[in-house]
Amino acid sequence: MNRTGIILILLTILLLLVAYFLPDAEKQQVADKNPYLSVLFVLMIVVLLANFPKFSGISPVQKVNDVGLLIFIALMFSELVFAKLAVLDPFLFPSPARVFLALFKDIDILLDGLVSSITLLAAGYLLAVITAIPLGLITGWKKRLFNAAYPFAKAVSPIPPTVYLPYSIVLLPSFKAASVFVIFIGAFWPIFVATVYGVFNIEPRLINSARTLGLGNLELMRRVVLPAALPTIFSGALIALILSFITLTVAEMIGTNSGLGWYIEYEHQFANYDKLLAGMLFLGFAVVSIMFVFDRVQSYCLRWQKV
Amino acid sequence: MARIELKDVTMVYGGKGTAVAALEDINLDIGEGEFVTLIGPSGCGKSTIIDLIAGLKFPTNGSVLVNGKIIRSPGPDRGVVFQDYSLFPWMTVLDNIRFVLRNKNGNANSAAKYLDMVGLSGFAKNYPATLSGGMRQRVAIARLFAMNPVAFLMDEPFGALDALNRIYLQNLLLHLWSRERKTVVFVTHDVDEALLLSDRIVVMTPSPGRIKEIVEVGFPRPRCRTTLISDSGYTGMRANLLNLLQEEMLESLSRQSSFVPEGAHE
Ligand SMILES: Nc1ncnc2c1ncn2[C@@H]1O[C@H](COP(=O)(O)OP(=O)(O)OP(=O)(O)O)[C@@H](O)[C@H]1O
Ligand SMILES: [Mg+2]
Repeated sequence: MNRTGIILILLTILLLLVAYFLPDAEKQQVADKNPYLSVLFVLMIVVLLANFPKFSGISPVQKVNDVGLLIFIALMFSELVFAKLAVLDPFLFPSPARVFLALFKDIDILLDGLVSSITLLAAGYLLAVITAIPLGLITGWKKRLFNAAYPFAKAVSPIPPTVYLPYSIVLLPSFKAASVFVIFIGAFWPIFVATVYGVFNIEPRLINSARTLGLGNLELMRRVVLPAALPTIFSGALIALILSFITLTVAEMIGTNSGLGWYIEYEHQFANYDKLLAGMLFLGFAVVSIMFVFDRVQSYCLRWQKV
Repeated sequence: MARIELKDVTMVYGGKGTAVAALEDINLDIGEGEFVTLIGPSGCGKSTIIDLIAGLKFPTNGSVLVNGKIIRSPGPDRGVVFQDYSLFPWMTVLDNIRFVLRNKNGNANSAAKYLDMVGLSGFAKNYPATLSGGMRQRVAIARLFAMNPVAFLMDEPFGALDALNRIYLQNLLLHLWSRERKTVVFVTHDVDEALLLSDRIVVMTPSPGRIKEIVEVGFPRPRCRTTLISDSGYTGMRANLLNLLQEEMLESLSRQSSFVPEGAHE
């Protein structure tokens, strides 16, 4: 166990004690604290397990402790500022306990919203991946096509995708289809530009060496050009993914009646700030999980790169 | 095995104004199973000749033929090893070899056999990035033999290696090549390497690239580095080659000195 670990464990215990024993500010409406305390308790167990590898068999990771420290400092801060001292208006800034209570009460709605959001996101994003990569490969490979298309792509790619929403709504059968389309457009350009750029920057000696093996054009694209451009493609795909989250949330806020963006906007209209924050927290958690999966896919596909 | 002919080959890079005459009137006839080495100062067109035979580039004038046929594209009948970038970094060592066997219903076993040949069985699952430069070139040679082309084209394959690795790889190449003599066109800057490996050494001169002299290396095979050095003909031939190269070097230096900027003489 190292110093960060000790500090973290002490902090988790302290937070649990503070949250449980110290009374909330008077202005604060009293809420059921059990959901929040349970979450804190589970987190504390995780921290302890990570720091006592002899018992848990989990090797302690410095990164876990560093991230944990940041999270617990933020939790401690919000516990003191929003619950105990109620420095800001508790109606607009509810205590963590109230946010977690809202999260627990609405978990079914939130999970339904997650499924709906992920469906739209996956449809739009994957559509972008399977179209932008082949088109980018061809555009990067054919110099004439590159000269014609790249300036256009550069000009169009910075346009915020939600700009296309009004026409998409008119032209497409449902708002969901319009959302998918807008996510697709938003994700398409970063992947396309990165793919073109990736192909353009492949070491020419690598291509020459591949050509001496007598590969056909299709095989050259699939077995050589694509993998060689893949590191650059992934960096574009990451930007596209982040952009997709934004597009999705905005689109849901504007016009759907499901999904996490919709939930947040809906509760906002009723001034349920605890639910609004619960929705944001849940959305943040979903984003982190998806990014984690993305990271895993990326490091698997690029496992051949020097570390 | 293959006969390789270059007939009145001229190669000009670039368009009007920027044209560079890389090769001019090259005539070279390489016989079946012959080991020919190209040597000469930088920019004399050695790599260009390799690229022409490989089918990566095409001559401005004249023709390049393999077994009497004009070369129209790269093909698996001519295996090429460059100084680097020969292997695909995204494939394991074994997959790199398996890849060239893909159309020859080659299985993992035969790929492993070639890896064993260069003493790298233990690294089958490694990616090239995790190997040293010398090991990567060993894999490239294993792949070359796995391809089983009629001709080997090798452009400074050992140029980036330290002296020990270089000796190891020269011996390995010589040993493997002696079992089945393919036609080899080999580029080097190293006179000793050329003398050890070649049947003939083509000395080239730059601007434009031409053949200055062709030296026959008649030492009996199999050759051994130590007995070769003590051969009475070796020292003379080596001195002769170094002389030819030095002339070239002095000439290109005097050409460059005309570009010395004003004021540099003060
Ligand atoms: N793609 C190209 N475009 C324009 N000029 C080129 C190109 N490739 C080579 N050249 C020129 O042709 C000449 C011969 O080049 P080449 O690479 O064949 O020389 P080399 O003998 O292999 O040199 P080195 O020993 O440095 O490898 C040089 O003057 C070079 O600048
Ligand atoms: Mg060269």
